[in-house]
Amino acid sequence: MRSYLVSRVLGMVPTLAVISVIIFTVIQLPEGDIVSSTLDRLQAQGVDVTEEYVQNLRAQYNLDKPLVLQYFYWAGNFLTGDMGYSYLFSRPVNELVWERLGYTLSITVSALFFTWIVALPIGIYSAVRQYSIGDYIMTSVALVGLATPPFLLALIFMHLGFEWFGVSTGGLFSPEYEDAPWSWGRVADLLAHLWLPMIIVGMGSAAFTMRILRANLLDELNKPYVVTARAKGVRPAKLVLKYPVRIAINPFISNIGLMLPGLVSGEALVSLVMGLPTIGPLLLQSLLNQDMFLAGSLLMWLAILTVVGILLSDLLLAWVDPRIRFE
Amino acid sequence: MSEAALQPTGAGPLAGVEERQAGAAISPRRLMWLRFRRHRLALASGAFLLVLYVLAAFCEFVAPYGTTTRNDDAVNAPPMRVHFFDADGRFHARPFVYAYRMEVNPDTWMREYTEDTGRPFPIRFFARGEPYEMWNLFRMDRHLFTTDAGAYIHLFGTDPLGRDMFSRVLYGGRISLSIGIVGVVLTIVLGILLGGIAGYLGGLADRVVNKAIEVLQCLPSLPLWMALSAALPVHWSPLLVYFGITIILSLFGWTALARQVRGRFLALREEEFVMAARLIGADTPRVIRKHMLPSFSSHIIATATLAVPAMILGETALSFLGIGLRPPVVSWGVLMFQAQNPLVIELTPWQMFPGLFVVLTVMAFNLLGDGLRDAADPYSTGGMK
Amino acid sequence: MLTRSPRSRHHGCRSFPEGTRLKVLALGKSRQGLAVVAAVAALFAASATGQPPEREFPDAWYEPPKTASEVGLTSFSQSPFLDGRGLPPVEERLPDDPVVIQPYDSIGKYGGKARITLWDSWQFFNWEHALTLSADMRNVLPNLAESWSLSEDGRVTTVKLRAGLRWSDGHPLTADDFMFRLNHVFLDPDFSPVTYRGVRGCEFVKIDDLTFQYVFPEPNPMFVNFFAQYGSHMLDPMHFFKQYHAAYRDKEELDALVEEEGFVSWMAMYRALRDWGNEDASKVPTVRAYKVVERTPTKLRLERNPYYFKIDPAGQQLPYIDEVDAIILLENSQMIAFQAATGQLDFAAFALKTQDIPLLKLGEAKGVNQVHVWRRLHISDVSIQPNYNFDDPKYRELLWGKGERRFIRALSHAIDREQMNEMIYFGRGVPSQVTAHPSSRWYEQRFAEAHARYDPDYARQLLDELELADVDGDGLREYPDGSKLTITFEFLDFETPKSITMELVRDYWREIGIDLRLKSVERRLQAERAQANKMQMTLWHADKVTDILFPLVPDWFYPHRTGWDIAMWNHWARYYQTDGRLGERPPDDVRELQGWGDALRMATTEADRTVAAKALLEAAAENLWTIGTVGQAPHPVVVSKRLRNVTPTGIWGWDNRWTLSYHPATWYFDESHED
Repeated sequence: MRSYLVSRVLGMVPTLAVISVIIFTVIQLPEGDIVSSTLDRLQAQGVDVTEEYVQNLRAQYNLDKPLVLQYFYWAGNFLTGDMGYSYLFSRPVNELVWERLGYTLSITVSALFFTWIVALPIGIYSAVRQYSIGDYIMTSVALVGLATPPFLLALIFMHLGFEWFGVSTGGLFSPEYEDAPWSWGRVADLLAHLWLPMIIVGMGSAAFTMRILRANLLDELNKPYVVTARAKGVRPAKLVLKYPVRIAINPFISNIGLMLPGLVSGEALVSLVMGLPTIGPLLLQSLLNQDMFLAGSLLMWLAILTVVGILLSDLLLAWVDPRIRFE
Repeated sequence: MSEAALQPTGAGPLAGVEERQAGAAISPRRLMWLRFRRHRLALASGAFLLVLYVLAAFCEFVAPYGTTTRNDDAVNAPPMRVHFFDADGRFHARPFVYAYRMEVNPDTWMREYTEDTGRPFPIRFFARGEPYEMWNLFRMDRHLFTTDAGAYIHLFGTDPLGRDMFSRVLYGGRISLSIGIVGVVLTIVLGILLGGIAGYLGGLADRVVNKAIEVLQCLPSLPLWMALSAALPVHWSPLLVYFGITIILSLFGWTALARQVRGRFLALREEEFVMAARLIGADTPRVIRKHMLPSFSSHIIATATLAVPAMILGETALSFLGIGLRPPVVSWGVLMFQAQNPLVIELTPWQMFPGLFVVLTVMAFNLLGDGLRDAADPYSTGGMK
Repeated sequence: MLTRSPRSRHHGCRSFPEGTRLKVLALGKSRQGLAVVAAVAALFAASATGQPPEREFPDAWYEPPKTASEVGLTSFSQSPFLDGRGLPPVEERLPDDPVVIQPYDSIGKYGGKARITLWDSWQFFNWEHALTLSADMRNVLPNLAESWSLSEDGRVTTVKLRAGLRWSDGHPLTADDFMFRLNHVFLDPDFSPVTYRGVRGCEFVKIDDLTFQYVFPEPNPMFVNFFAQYGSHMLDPMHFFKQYHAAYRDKEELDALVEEEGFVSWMAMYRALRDWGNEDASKVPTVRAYKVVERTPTKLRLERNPYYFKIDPAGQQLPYIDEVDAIILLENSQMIAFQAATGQLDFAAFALKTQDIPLLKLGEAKGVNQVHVWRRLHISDVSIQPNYNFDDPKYRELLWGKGERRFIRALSHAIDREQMNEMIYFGRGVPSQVTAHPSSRWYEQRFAEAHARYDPDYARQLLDELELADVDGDGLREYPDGSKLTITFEFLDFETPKSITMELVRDYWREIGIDLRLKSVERRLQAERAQANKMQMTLWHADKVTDILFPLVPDWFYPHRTGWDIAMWNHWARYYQTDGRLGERPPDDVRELQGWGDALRMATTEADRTVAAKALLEAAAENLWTIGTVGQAPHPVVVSKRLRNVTPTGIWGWDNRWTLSYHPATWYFDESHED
């Protein structure tokens, strides 16, 4: 197990390196850079900008170096915990990221748990009671859930949430808990606010997982050993839960890797619509304003979240299913 | 809804008999069709999509108005009701709508619309109306339905500038639906090309492509789409932006297909008929084109169908955020951009229609894709277990 | 008549295209009619002062505020929120003679925590300037200062502060705090590479701790307006900021601090602190009604400033509300509108738009908020700025060439402002070109209506005269040489209904064959592209049009400044700013305008000022430097059920800093009415 862990963790490094190159390339795409825009501003104000000043400024941001070197400066700084400076907010990027990253993480992870908690029982029920009214309802809901864009769900839920419950939707805490130190009450309050984004973000993946589980389980239930067991009179509940479910559930864990990017994307979108203090709105602002240090760091963090999540799910799978370790 | 309709594997006894009787004599494609035909829900979805695509293709003709035609008497007006009976209860063979009567409520500042029963607008079919250029080629002025000059019809209501939502949804459908298809074609090309190279050549190429797939699959796509589309130059024409967005969407979409193609290639490479073709002296492209591709083209079609919704949802999300397509281009996402406030649902719910169409379309594609996938699987028993 | 002949600055000018004759003529005409105009203006002003308009607000808001001794108040009380905090007694924290503010409706009660978004922080607890404005935007009133005076020659403004004012940390507020800001921010070559024109050459003279002078080399009689409106930029707590300033701190120490805090320069750190932009915001002393307790990336938490210098007529120290939570919602105005409509915010206005009103009123119907409809100050909600200095000869020729002003006029005549008013503003705005605000003594209706008639046929005729014909038959005109004529229009869609207005304008212009491509950009990009002169056409709303600001920053009337909100003549403005060292020499008529601009700013008599003002307004009406649409539009101000004393009407805009003269410190919560 340990060697497997080491090899997986090491395998993550090149992946992240490649991702960082992609992200660096993406943030280089917009025309113009910080120096040219600074110069434009100064010149527009009437400053006589000298060639020397330009060179100094370019050197200050390493823009006089070849692109490859610029990449290494950027990546190196990121590794040492210096994510650069946000021109949009006139603040170091580090300050902007941490709190929001926490909320992004909590929404994404809770959406993941929501996915499981919802998809597991419904998937089993649907498969075991295939073609029952309940199955039709569940599969239909899953179909719709899979097809509804998260932002549309968010709009609808926000409206309903307000109409029915008067739920405030603008943040993650009630006013009275917003400033309170962490306590059980505050956690409960967070959960009370988290459920809406959680459901909206998790809806798509829950529907997806439920459909997969249902299909897998149906395949499994038709296998000879189940038929045999049933013929021998094993109790139905035990029959289903003991073997088929255990086999059908494996994709659950391995699917984390497939679902995580989708959840992170969905979270960004939903937070934008609901005005939640996560990475999503910050990323949109940084992109629209071409604040590329900030955008690059945020993209990188989202990628790291995903990659680490996938790694964890792989390890979990290896722990659950010993065969994987020997591959 | 009948039980069979929701039963993807529910096969009529006759279909099974036909298939078995036909046996080896029928082509794989026909076999696939026979299997597919039994998925009634998929079939219905296919039919629905076909209608939608036809409507979108001929939207100039179907829509009574263009995308920028304003009705200055109908700002944020609700959908009109089509009548056969007039206010006095008299039946009219020709359906008609009533004109809007608008009043601004001084308390709520709402524009309140009522039907002006004194002004019926008969609906004319295949009549002359607003002139347009069909596919930018032919000048025409016939519409599927329209009203007399001076009258108007808004089946889906209007937007804040008094533009006909029905027409805009149709025109928007043309963009959103075609982005799905164009994007998927690009995806297929990329997927087959890269997957094929990896699977057929193996070795280094395989490792590189595999790593690329692995990396791209663990990237959250929406943030990267956002970054890329925010980088599209300002001065690009709407057409260029359209293709830009499509390419951006396909850039991250090809991995699933490529992985599948690669797997198939790896397996097929070892098959005897491929070996035989190579021994005869067929060159690589020919082997791929003539022998390998046809053997799993049905799979590609199924996977591609399932990839369309992601494209449509991607475009919708980007445009909704205001960084995808932008007016005057009309897409479902662009139309949704105007409905960003949850209270729109309460105030002018008809402006959410584009969202409904997105949901229906994506659902139909999912169902169709499921059906195709089942049908394409040569080992599937087509539900005859 | 003028202090300086507008033409005296430029002799031996180079030749200009013939087409400019029309503009010169227009100016010439205005000059001939000046005497008459001045007389009329004088009459108008007289009648205006003789019959003051009906007052919507308490009389006290139009006059210098009374002090405690003047109304006979001797005992003062404080909010229970401050009890037991070990503070000095309230009498010692208040200035020697506190300022008494009359609430709009009722004397308030202490308590509560207000929930707003950061966008509304400037409105909910406004800045405290040395001077302030009267509710009708006609007079400058004392605030932190108890009095001020202007020398005969207009060069020296003397200010005398109230005694006993303190910063929120208890440190006395003195003349040094004003000196620090002027000498070490405005006049510091590192901080401000180009000196702001309003304070160029200014010298600070400290008479005593409370009395000081701003001495200018040239007459600057309107400086007091600047001082009142722009006042938040005229003082910084010196005792605090000197530790962050290169002039007072060891260079190496400061650099180490900058490095540690992660900023690029000490100036950036200074600005961030001043704007409450980072976690250290809680350390920054303030004179405003609230001070920062905590700043996180998602929220600004504030509580009452125990040293605030105003009281109510009952002797209670203001403000009434104890705490404020300003959540930081990034530019998501729809979310703010939703929260305001659903009663989740106690005050919201800045990010709301006219079209949101029905939606916001849904909340009123449900009983969760109150929607007040104020009137925006902007004379035009959208002021379209063609870029006269755009780097494309063909486009420049169109705007400023042989065709004279035909192109711009055609664009203006193509806009149906009445319809726009009905569709977007519920018919409650006022169609207008960009000119002075009706409250201004220089306002004339004919300026507002110049070339504003909806007449697409005439517009087409003008374009035909320019030989802009549709060659390829796509319904859109091409340049005379047959190349595509496309206008890329980048704009920042914020505050007023800009996007929807421009969609309408795009339709209107398409009808006369002009192809407009819209792209809404964000704040930073707007700034960047405007400054880089990359924008072919852009927009902003036309504020700075009242008597307070028009004489100081007539942005829409002659090239004197560049910025993210003004990108129509960068090169000409730069030439003016640098006295010809940089930029591009403007055509003679524009040089003349710049002369009028100088004259307006420096005139020491009302008559001279009027002559210059009228010349600028006349030229703008004739030439349409910018194209106006609809202005003075309804603006929603949404307050929660429990908030009291917010005025039901008001003028909303930059010139009066939104709520400066409506005294937000007197707003309070009446919880008993909450259901």
